[in-house]
Amino acid sequence: MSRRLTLQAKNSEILLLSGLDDFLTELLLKLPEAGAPHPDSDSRLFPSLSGGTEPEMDDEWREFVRPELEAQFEGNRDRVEEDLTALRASGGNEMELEIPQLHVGAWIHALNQARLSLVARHRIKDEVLEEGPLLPGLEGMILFQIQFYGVLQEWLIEAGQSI
Amino acid sequence: MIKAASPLPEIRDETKDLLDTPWNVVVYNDPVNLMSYVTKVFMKILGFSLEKAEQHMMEVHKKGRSVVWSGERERAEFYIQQLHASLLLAVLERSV
Repeated sequence: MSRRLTLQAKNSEILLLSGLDDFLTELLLKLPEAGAPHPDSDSRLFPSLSGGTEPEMDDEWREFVRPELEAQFEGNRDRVEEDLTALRASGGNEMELEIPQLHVGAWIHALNQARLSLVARHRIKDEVLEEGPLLPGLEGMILFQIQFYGVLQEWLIEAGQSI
Repeated sequence: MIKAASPLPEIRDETKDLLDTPWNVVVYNDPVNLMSYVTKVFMKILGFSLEKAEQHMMEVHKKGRSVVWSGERERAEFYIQQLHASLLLAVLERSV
């Protein structure tokens, strides 16, 4: 990960993410897609109300609440995708991105959505998650992506005015 | 005219029982969600202080689950919808 990657307040309304090299920029651009609906992440992103102990209530939940959650998740991804269009070169080979404070909540939720979805879609086990991105191959790449999103999420939680 | 033999009172009693039963909002551990994120979500949605939110977060982390709220079903469902919107593994359970 770039040593110069930083997130800092540009002013009271804007956070500036800077020091993005080509690889991190590519991962950032993949964020909306990473959290998009997928059959393998469906049960994690849309858990039932009672965990199966109250089938009728779970059915109602699926019918009435799930569509609202789907709309919220899509809204978060759309907000992030729109913000990503403002990515710009900042000198050298690096890119930077301004994130409005008002959008921080959507970013935090979209990052969380992507991390959960990636873990479910790639069936990454708990013990593998703890080993970090030192694993070789595709699994190591996915773990790096999850960790990168986790770092950004942590920074935004610290720097943001709300979630 | 129908006099008395309607099954409605029984249904109404059952519904009343369901609504009167105390319900727990239980949050289960998830290895992906960040501890700082879970703490913030508890503070925002359940109105916990930082100290209380961290206590429940640690209970989830160490014991695998935490009852974060108990009471009437309608309000419990409201909290769970908010927790699901934040992608926490929250479940509604009857309080025994």
